[in-house]
Amino acid sequence: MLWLALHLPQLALDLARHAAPAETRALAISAGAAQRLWVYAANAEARALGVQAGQKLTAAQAICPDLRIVRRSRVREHQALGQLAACLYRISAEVSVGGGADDRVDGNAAVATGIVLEVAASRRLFAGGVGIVAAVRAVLVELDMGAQIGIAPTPAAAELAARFADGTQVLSRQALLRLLDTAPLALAALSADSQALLAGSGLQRIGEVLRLPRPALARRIGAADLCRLDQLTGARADCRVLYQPPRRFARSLEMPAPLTDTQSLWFPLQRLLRDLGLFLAASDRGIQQFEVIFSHVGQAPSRMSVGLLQVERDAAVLFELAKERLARQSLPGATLALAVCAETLLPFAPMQTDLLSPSTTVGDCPERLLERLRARLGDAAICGLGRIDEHRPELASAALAGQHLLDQRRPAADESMDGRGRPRRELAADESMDGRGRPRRELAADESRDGRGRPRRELAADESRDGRGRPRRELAAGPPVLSPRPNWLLATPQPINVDGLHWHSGPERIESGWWDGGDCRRDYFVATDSKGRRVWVFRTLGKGADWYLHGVFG
Amino acid sequence: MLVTALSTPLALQTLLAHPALWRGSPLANDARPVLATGWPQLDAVLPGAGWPLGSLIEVAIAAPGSGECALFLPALVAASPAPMALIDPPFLPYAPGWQQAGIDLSQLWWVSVGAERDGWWAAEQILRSRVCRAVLFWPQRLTDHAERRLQLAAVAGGSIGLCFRSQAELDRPSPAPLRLCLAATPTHWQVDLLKCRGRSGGARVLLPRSAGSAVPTLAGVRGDSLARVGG
Repeated sequence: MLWLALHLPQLALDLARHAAPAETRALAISAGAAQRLWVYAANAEARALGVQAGQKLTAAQAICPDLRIVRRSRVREHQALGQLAACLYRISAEVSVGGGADDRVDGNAAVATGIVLEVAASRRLFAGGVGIVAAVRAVLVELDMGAQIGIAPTPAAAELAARFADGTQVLSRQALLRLLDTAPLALAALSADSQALLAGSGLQRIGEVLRLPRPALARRIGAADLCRLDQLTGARADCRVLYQPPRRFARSLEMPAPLTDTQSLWFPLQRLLRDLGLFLAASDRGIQQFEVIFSHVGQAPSRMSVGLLQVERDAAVLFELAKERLARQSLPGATLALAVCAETLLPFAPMQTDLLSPSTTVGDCPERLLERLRARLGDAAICGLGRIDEHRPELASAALAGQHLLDQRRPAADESMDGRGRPRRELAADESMDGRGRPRRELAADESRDGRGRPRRELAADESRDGRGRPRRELAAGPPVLSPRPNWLLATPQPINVDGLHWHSGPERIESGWWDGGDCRRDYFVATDSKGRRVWVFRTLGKGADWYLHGVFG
Repeated sequence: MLVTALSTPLALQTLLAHPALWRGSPLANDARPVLATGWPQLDAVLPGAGWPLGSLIEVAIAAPGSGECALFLPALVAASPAPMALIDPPFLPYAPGWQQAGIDLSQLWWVSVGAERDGWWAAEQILRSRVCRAVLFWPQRLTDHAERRLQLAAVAGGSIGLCFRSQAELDRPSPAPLRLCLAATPTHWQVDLLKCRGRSGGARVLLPRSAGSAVPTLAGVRGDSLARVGG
């Protein structure tokens, strides 16, 4: 086991700097009760004027009247550490937030909360410890935080190494004992009483304390401090609470000024989605839906929901889709803040591409193409077509939601993998095309998981409705209709004058639907009209026989 | 350099085989990939004996539904099961009819668009993507610029872009390498080649219409259970 610790003595100052990047004045972070405020930390400008950590705030203000004072916020520090931990989770799966000893010693500025992560397991991935340290420093640069890094065989020792000096690396037990010999006692983060006692006895280094007879030491300092010393040397196990990536993503960004133009929202949106992409990559998850929330002045926030056909986590793809949706979104007013939320994180399986197959560029896959089309044209714009066993012609064809275009594209291998012995209804269209005598997947998405074991994607639209919002019916399973059917149908039959028609075949009587109110009694004919088009016309039966054009063979 | 190249018969042969060289004779060597039309009469006049792949084909029609699908269906059925997209069709696509024609319904994308720009954009995206073998597009209007983009997208994607225009727009120059005019007579489809790579155009082909169905090769394609439909 090898642990890397990050010690962030400047965290409060860093956060104050992030909040107001343009500010160049001397800055002090205040802490303590309202009546007895003291300086928790001061930046370089303030220190140059004589402001020191631990000073009374009134004294600091007397030295430097122009001092900018920011109150220390434990909550915000904790959030920042959580964000840092989320980024470090890319490097190691064992990340722990909080040094453990800091809450006791609130007055000691040298002991700030930190992060430890186990790095021995990741050493090969990052080509050695140097690579890991470089990766951690890259994360710190990315988040614009200052930290001291230390590496040691135990978490407590790594924290000590980080506090001792930036870049201290202790790789063996002997080296650790040598470090403890030279490290000042204050770095051991013992309780204030024990520290005062030991310092009063003339002990200044941790090593000196460790060499004391153990029974005598145990009588004089508490069990907790003894445990702490044992954890430093590795004599006692040091169990840390490991960081768990959150189960949802929500982040917002305030605009410097209200933005009215949708194009000017692209940049903050891209930044949020980049964060989302990093978050998803770090937690090894993908999303199928996310929401963008626009806050306005004096109006309810408007929401834009972006649904995807498949699980994604690529920030560029997410931004491309969000951009198209944004172009179609009408916002009631200027936007003050932008937030991106993703509630449901799904397991993500990256698309496997064959190394040697010729045409596998990213733009080629049907899923991405359908996503792009849906994003710009709307969810209902892309439909599949399905036949329904129904005599009434206008009900025999159904528009299927775009989802089905993908489901049907699944390779046959998927079916063999989800064999659950469940009787599966068949789709007529596929039988002849499949050519293997195997029933193809039914269209209605009734299984909760698909062939790869991933949860079946949620449809944005109601499952029981088709692509055009009509109630779904059972798709036909039999062979194609034998009587001639046109490939085009008029949405509503048009009255037609039959004088100029040249007749080919008919009549075909269709009489159905008396039981559900959609009564239909017609004689259909195939004819050629004056323009040479072959048309499908019908005559209503009963009183007042009228002729209608219903379809075109074209 | 050129003289030495021509001095050997072998080099001359390679030069003559180059598809960019027009030799003045109709149907000169064209090595471009094609999709057989399914109509022998049409294959005989088209360079490469088929619809050119990676190309925009502009078809002038008198009215929507006057046989533009019937003309291309034999080739599209043969190209199945690659997806094909219908963009902004003039009527509702009717599943039983397409199924009778031999099209795998699961491979049919029906794209309905609102604005004309969205239609151009969708057609370009699909043509460029290499996902669909054919795009059937009924634009309400098409600018020269948009049509050029579609042609470039078809070249990039290697797919067939079928663009159905009204015959009123025949006078307008078009960047499509192949332009046809389709007219329906009671017994035949009459196809005029207005513009064609590798020949001067002007050919007229008459294709027989079957009596009962829209698709002449239906019986041959789908076996005897459907032969009765084809009549």
